Order: sequence, then C-alpha cells, then structure tokens
Amino acid sequence: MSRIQRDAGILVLVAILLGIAAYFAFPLSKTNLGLDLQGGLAVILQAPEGTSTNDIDRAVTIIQNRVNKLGVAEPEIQTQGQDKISVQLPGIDNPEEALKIIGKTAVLEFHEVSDFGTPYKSEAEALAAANVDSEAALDALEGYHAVVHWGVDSGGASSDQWFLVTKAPELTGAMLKDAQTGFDQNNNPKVDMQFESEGATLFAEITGRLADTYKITGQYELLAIVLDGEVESAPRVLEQISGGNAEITGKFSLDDAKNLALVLQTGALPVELTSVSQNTVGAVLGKSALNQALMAGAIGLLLIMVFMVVYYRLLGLIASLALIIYTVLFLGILNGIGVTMTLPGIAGMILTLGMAVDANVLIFARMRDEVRSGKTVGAATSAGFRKAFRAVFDCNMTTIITAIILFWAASGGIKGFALTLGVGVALSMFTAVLVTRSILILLSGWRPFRNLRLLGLHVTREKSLPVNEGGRL
Amino acid sequence: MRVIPFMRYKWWFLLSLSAVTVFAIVFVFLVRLDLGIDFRGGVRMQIGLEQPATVDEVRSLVTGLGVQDPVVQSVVGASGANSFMITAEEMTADQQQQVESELNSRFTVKADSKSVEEVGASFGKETTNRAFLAVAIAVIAIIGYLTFRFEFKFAIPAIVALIHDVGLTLGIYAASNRLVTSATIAAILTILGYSVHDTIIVFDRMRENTHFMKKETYGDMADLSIAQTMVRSINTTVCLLLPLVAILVFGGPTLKDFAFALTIGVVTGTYSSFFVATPLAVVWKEREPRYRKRVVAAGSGGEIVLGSSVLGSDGENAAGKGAFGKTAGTPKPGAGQAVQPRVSRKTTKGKTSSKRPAAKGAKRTSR
Repeated sequence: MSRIQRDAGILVLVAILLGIAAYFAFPLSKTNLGLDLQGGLAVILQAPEGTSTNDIDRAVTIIQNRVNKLGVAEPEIQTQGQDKISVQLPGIDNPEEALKIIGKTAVLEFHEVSDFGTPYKSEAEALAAANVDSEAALDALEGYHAVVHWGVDSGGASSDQWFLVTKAPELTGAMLKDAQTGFDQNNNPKVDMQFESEGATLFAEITGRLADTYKITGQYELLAIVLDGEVESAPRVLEQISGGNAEITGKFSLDDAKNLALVLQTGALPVELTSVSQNTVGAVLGKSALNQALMAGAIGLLLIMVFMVVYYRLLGLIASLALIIYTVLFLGILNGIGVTMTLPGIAGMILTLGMAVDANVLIFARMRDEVRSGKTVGAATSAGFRKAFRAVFDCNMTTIITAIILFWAASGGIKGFALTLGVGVALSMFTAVLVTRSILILLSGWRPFRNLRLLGLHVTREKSLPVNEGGRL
Repeated sequence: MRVIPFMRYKWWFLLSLSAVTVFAIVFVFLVRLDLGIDFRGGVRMQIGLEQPATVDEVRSLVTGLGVQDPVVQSVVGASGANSFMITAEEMTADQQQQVESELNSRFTVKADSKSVEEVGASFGKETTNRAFLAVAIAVIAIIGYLTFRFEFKFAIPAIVALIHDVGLTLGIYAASNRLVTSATIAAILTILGYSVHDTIIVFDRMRENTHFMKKETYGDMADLSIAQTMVRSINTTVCLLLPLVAILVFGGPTLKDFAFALTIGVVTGTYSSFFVATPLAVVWKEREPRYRKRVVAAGSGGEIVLGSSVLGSDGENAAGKGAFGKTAGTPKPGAGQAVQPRVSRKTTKGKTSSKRPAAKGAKRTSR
C-alpha cells in the first residue's frame, strides 16, 4: 500500500511540476531566441595582452552603455576567458552600423584651446602646415601631431576650423573614470565626470592654471574635449576643480548632455579592442533556421513516439507520455531560467529526445527478460527497473560528462548545445525512470496492464515454457 | 535466444576493424579535413538571392572583386533555393559590401537574408587548441569513469572502440567533402559520450554474467552478453537515429552537417561495441590466469558449454532481431541451456546477494 502511495505521491509531484513548467514554458514565443534564430550581431572583442581584469570589466560597462544607446532589447555582454568580451545583439536592424559603434576605439583627449594655435580653413591646409600631405604621414612624424576639427556652431551659421596641434594633451580619456548626465539646481541638464586619482591631480592642475589666467586677463580660458580629432565641447573654466569630480553646465539640451556624457564614457574605454570573431545574421535567415529546427524537432518527437508505440505497445505509450512530460518540463526549465535558445541549443534538445527514450528501451528490454524468466508483470516491472538502472545511469553519466567538457570548451552557440544536452539528459533520467515507473506501478492493477500482448511484453509468450525445453533466454 | 559465437572470430573482427580505422585515419590525413573558418580564421557570408544564379556566376563575381580563393556553395533551405555560402580566408568589409551590391544589381539580394561570420586567425587557432584539449579531456574522463564503475580492462577497449567510431566519422565526413565547423567538434564530443552507451550496455551485462558463469570461458560469456543485449542496443540507436534523420531531412544547412557526423558516429558506435570493445576486453581478460584456465579446459573454443549448440546451427544469419523471436534450427540438448537456468534462477530470486547463486555452481551439473 505504501508503495502505491509513494508512486501516487511522485505522480502528484510531477503533475505540480508539470503545471509550473507549463506556466513558464508557454507560450513558446516568449523564449529568448539567440541571434542565429532571430537575426542580429554577435561579436567577440579581444583586449591586448596583459590587460587587467579591472580594465576588462570597465570595457564591458562601457560597451553596455553604448549598446543601451542602440536600443537593443536583450543585449548580452559578458567577458569570455581572461581577455575577451562577447557581445550579442539579437534582433538589431543594422548589424554593420552597430558593430562600428561598439568596436570603435575612440581616443579622447583634453586640450587647452590656447594650445591650438592658428586655425586653418581645411584639413589639407592644416596638414600642409606640418609639411605633410596625409594623416598617415602626420602620425609618422616625431612628437605629438594631430589635426583637430572644430565645427563651431554660432547662431545657426556654423564655421569649420582645423588646427594643427603639436602639444600633447595633458589629460586623456584613460584618466577619466566615468561620466553621467544629471540636472543642476535650475533643473538644467549637465554632465558630471569623475577622474581617476592621477587624472584628478592633473585636472586640478590644469583647471587651476586656466582659472588663474582668467583671473589675470579677465578672458575665459577653454578646455576642449576632443574625441577622435573632433572637438565635442569646449567648456569655460571658471575655477580650479580639485577632488576629481567635475561638472559641465551650460546651454545644453538633454540630448546634448547625453551625447557628451556618452562621448566621455566612450573615451574612457581603457583598452583597444579588436574584433576576433563576428557573426551577423539577417532576420529572415534566422527565422527560417528556427522554423526548420522546430519542424525537425516535432517530426523527430513524432517518429520516436511512433516507434515506441509500435515496438512496445502500451509500454511505448507510457514512454511517449513520459517523453511529452519531459519536453514540457525541459521547456519550462529553459524558459524559467531565461536561457537564450540558439540553433545548436535546439539541436541538443532534439537529440535528448532520442536519448531520453533510450532509458525506456533498456528498462523495457529488461522487463521482457524478467517476464521471459517467468515473473509476473508486477515483479518484472520492479526488477526490470532495478536491473536496468545501473546501465542507464552509467550511459547518461558519460554523456553528461562530455556535455560539461563541451560547455567549458565551446564558445557561442555550441555552449547552448552543451547546456541543453547536459541538462536534458539529467532531466530525462528523472522522467524516463521515475515517472515511467510510477505510472506503470499505479496502473499495474488495471487489466490491460496485465496483458502481456498489450503491454508489449508478448515476446515472452513462447518463452514462458520451462527453460530446459526451449533452451532460450 | 540464439547465441552467436562472435568471440571465436575476435581476432578477425579486431584486425579487420583496426585496418578500417587505420585506413580512415590515414585517409583523413591524406585528404585533409576541410577546416572551416572557425579554426583557420576567415569570412563566411551567406546571402539569399531573388533570381536564380549559378555557383560559377557567383564565384566569378566574387573573384572579380579581388577576393582570393573564395569557396562558393549553393545552400538550399534557409532562405529559399537561391542561397549561397561564400567562404574566404580574407574578405574586407569593403569587399563584403561590394559583393552584396554587385549581387544585388545582378540577382537582387533578398532583404534581411544576409549573414556574415568573421573569425580572426588567432581566435581560430585558439578554437582548434581548445577542441583538441576538450577531446583529450573527454577521453580521459571517460576512461576514468569506466575504470571507476567497471575496471580498467573495460575502459581501454571502450576507448579503442571510440577511436574507431571517431576515426570512421572523420573519414566519411572528409570523403563527403563537408566543412569542419565548431558544430562538428560538438558532434565528435557527443559521439564520444554517446557511442560508449552501447559498450556500457554490453559491459554491464558482462559484469553481471560473470557472477553466474563460473565455468564458461570469458569469450562464451561475452557472446551470451552480446546476444542478450544486441537488440536493445540497436533499438536505442534507432531511437536516436529517428530525430537525427528528422534533422537531416528538415534541418537547415548548419544542422545537417552536424546531424550527418552524429549519424555516422552513432551507427559505428553500435557495432563497434560488439566487434571492437567486447573482443578486445575478452582478449585482455582471457590473459588472466583464472579465465585462461577455463579456455584451456574448454579446449580453446569453449566447446563444452555455450558454443556447441550455436556452432552446430546456422550461426551465420542469426544476428539481429529475427534470431530472438524465432527458434531457428534445433538447439542441441545439453548445451546452451546449461547457462540459462542459472541466469533465470538468479533473476527470479533477484534480491539475494550476487555471490550466492554463483556459489551454487553445482546446480549446473545437476541438470
């Protein structure tokens, strides 16, 4: 009696789990799809050798900021290994453009405008002043040389000016810790920035000097924020700013402030990142890959169930039921913890369908052995499960072990395959062994479940002769 | 049940299958696996066209834009019939754009049907190294696990069978001219984990049968174990082949290659369990003094116990399911049954310790 109670208990538990899983699993459309299934961009960025983890973490934060600006729904940015950053942007419209924004290694510098010297009307003129004809040649010159463009926007009429700067900037973006937008007392947008300790000292020094000049001459001194040779802003310096925290106020719109903050953040990217692997997938391509995979999965599931029912009859039906329970539980787990499904991930899931019924095949074969040796269905059921379990367990363990190794070694979509394979096989041991057994034991009193032919144990019929007459096992 | 004396021919199996494996591996080295950009670095571009184009047209167009040695394949499936996969070791962003715009002007590129994958050479090298490392670790882990659960003399034959499976998979993969991608490596690792299943099933039965069979030679015991487990091994394989076939037929191009590799590995994994792993384990185990004695006692072939009945009848065609359902030939009295009563006796009184029925060796003589 207590055994029946235990099995009933197990099934009630399974029913509850099934309900919870179904709640998380459906509708399937809420599954996070990897970019290989909905289109998008995946890129792996590599930092130069010897980059500290700290810098990598900062780079990740910065990339996150940039990506957020792109308005991607479910971006995934994470470090990979010691010196790589993996960026996944599913569902973006323009992967090429996004890649440019993310991968751009901007050079942010702070120049005193008084160091700029003579303005030129074109880039060529500025280059000519240094006796070179291209930027490449300029870079080759000894000492610091840079052409800076300043598009001054004065009352609608904009005037562009180019400068040949030969004095190295005292502050660079690397010394900047972070920047954000905020609002001042009058509720006007402003930009706050924070410097690293070295940067703070330098910044105090520079602002102190500029503020002193202002006090003496009565003329505002400007500190230009230059990103990639482009003057983004040139705030006036009114007083010395020490302590490493500065704010830029002025006639900004909120968008201007946000842009400037972004420029500052961009510039703070501590290391130069190079793309070592990138993958862009068109939306249509992803969609059709998804449909094909789902189709393959559904047909695979159907084929397995047909095979099981034809070969094992009622037992096969129970195994098919367990397989469906398995599928729902698995989807529930995947959607519940928000796993991003990739194409290899779905492939892994389809494979586990076949592996899940493997356990049933082994158990049912054992049951046939037991019935053949003269046992009743009930006794054969429990003996079959008990004896098959060791082989089932060992088989599944080897697959789980390789899945773990693969998960460790793989990158990108293949990790998804390893995950579904490992989790799926572990879960299948639960459904194919425990759930099937409980169902069978509970139903064992019912008449169809005592009929060997219906059960699919009919092979035993001719075998139930005394062994020494038939001579067969 | 018909017991086929496979183990009489163990050396024949071992030698011929090693020859096949060596041939496959040499073939792989000669033909050179077509390593995809995942390992060597490069660019892979897939693009769907509205109008029909031939591979040659696309290739000449791409070459015309200065891309060195592009590999152009026609891909059916993902986005209609006119999809092409262009792979090259180097294709700059500019060249990619030119390819797209040229294709667009001649064949009209389908919207949102382009995918580009770029892998740096150093990253590819890292992937390769990691793939080798992962395979090595998996092999060691499987040896470790099997040694822990069975014994070392079972673990090594299982791995040798896996070498056969993977060797053949790679050989056929290379022969069919498919590109090796990271998905292929995933398939190889899965084969390592899965192909050992059937070996475990036989070994599990051998582990069990050793307790009942105190007189029979190790080879006869192995033959019985194979006979007892072959159908179920084939069935588990069929259960995995069904979804694989579904992927092969309905899946997209990437999944197809993956399923192809797995299919070979799974099929080879089934027969190698019987014809590589088991014979090797038998050869090794029969060197142990206690089993050697039995071989000597049985007159080198184990004629006394299991074998004779089988040898006498049509053992040739008895493999597979048919042999189990029907009684082909007339089993000779005295042989064959000797083992069975004890096996069934044990299973009936399943709960007793495994030592006890084994100790009742006398039962056999009484029958």
